[in-house]
Amino acid sequence: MSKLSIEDFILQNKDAFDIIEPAPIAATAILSSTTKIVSSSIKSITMKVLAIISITTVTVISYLTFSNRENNTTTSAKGGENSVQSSTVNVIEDTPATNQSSANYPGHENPITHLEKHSPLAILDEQIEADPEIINDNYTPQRWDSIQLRQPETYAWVRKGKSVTLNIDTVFTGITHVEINTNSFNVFMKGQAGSHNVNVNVEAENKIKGVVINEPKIEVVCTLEGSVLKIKALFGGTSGIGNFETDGTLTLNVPENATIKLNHDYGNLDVSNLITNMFDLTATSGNVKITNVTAPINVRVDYGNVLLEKTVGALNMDIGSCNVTCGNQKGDVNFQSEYCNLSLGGVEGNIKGKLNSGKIDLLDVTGNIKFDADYSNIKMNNVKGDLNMVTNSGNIVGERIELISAANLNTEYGSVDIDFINDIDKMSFDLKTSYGNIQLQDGVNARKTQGDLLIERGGIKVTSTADSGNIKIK
Amino acid sequence: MGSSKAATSAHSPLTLEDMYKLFAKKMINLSARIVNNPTTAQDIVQDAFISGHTHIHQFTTETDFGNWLKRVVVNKSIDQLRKKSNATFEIDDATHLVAETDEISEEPEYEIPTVMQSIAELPDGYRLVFTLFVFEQYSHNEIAAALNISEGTSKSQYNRARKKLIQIIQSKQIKS
Repeated sequence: MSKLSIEDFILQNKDAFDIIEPAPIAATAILSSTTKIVSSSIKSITMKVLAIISITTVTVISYLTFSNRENNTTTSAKGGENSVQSSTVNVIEDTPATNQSSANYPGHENPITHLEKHSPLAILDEQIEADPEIINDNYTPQRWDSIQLRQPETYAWVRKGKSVTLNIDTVFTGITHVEINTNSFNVFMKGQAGSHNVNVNVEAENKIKGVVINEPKIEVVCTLEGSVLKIKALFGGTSGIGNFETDGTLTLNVPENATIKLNHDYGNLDVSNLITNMFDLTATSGNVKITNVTAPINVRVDYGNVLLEKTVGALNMDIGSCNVTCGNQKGDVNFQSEYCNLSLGGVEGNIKGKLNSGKIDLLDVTGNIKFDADYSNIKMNNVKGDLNMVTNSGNIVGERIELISAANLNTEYGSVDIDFINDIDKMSFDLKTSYGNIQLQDGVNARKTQGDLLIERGGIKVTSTADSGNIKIK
Repeated sequence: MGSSKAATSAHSPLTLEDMYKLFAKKMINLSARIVNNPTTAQDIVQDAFISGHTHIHQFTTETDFGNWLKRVVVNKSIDQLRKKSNATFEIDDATHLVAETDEISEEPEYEIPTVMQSIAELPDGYRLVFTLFVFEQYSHNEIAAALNISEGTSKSQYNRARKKLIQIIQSKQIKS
């Protein structure tokens, strides 16, 4: 015979669980009640006056203190002392109030249904440990804590300790904005067409040995606020003395036409097949691979290798010290970096860049190029568009360049060597060098000179200065 | 008797005395389970019936009044719990975990006195959610509305409460 569950046992013996019997109704009790009713009426009037004063005082203080915050809590005047005492539980003195949980959120017509369908309860790792007690006798909440924190739905998975694992697989629906924060996770993100779901899959393990400063843990927190989903995936306690090996993979399937914001500390990142309103990436270090992404893209990476392929949309890159390769980009490129090797190929759009040192390779570009490259060498091949380039000691070298209207190429100590597709005989030149040579090879003549060379022959104009370098045009 | 009837509206078929007879025991026990104190529970229910005096005329059926009274008693009990804990009682909605799915591998043998005592030993918040869910058959949706927390929080709190309760029962059984 199977044993009863605790719930069934209680329900089968419910009457036996009654703690006390009520006092029988006697004349004295009724009299007492009636007296109490009368006295409570007097008390009620007094309390209401006091309550009004208290509520007014609290309201003024609250307004002054929290005037910049949205406050959705209703303070029941009828609750009198209770409503002032507790901001979250009002004694119901009226007929039943509306169910607060049935409020609609953007993107979720019924959040309760949503949670029942997709509650992580059903699909999370069975071995997950509890976080510190939520109902904690030692926890003293701030007066308005609960109000500030009521809005989002938060799901947190935490494993604490050394050599622990965490596995999660869950879904959130109706998402239009996703924010991800990770530290040492490898992130794989894929777009899923025609969907508003975000699938979150986490496989993480730490193998921490040694003396830790903070408590080791793996923590994943998903906060759902309307149609905004915020995901934090963090390894904790990875500093101290010893070996802090972590292995975490966060795999996300994200909806089409959402806004994606990813803050990524360490680890590799692979983003593919994404069509979004915005993809914004901030990464400290790691290898970043972004392929088949249609979106305005913002990429900020400090250290590592960045590879972008088949991207459509404006591309803004703020790079620290990386190798950056970008192929088949349709849309303007805005690039800036201190130390970087940059290779841009197959770009249909204007390029604007600023680089302190490193190499710049531009191949098969249709669009105007403007680059300020201090100590960097600029190398171009098969470019159709106008050029505006400045270097300090970097060379400006180009083959198969087809200008639309003008080129402005200036260097202090570098050289300029450009091979134009355009008919040089129909181009104008304004070339200047202080200590270098100027060589211009047109259809008939090869001119070689020092100093300035000024030729006015057509609408397309090339202006170039090289203080101590050579200028070679053909 | 006359006083009781005088305390009810002339338009209402319900009398406070009848309602007391009908609901007092249930309400006192409900409150006592939440606040863990029979004397306080009796005071709460007394106050609830006094509130009922002014509202009873709004109800035409015993069930409606009973449901209203239950809400009042539950809310007054929760409020009392907060006052007793000097505002340290809190179910935090924003950091709740919905992570506990550890099933009890084997249900122990239950005895009423042991279970009653173990329920009384649960932390306030656990006991509150457990009481509402098991004894009062509240859904997690209703608990969430009553406590102004999310449904997920209610579920996780209940899972924890259940786990804790069985641990307490098992520890008592081992000792005995």
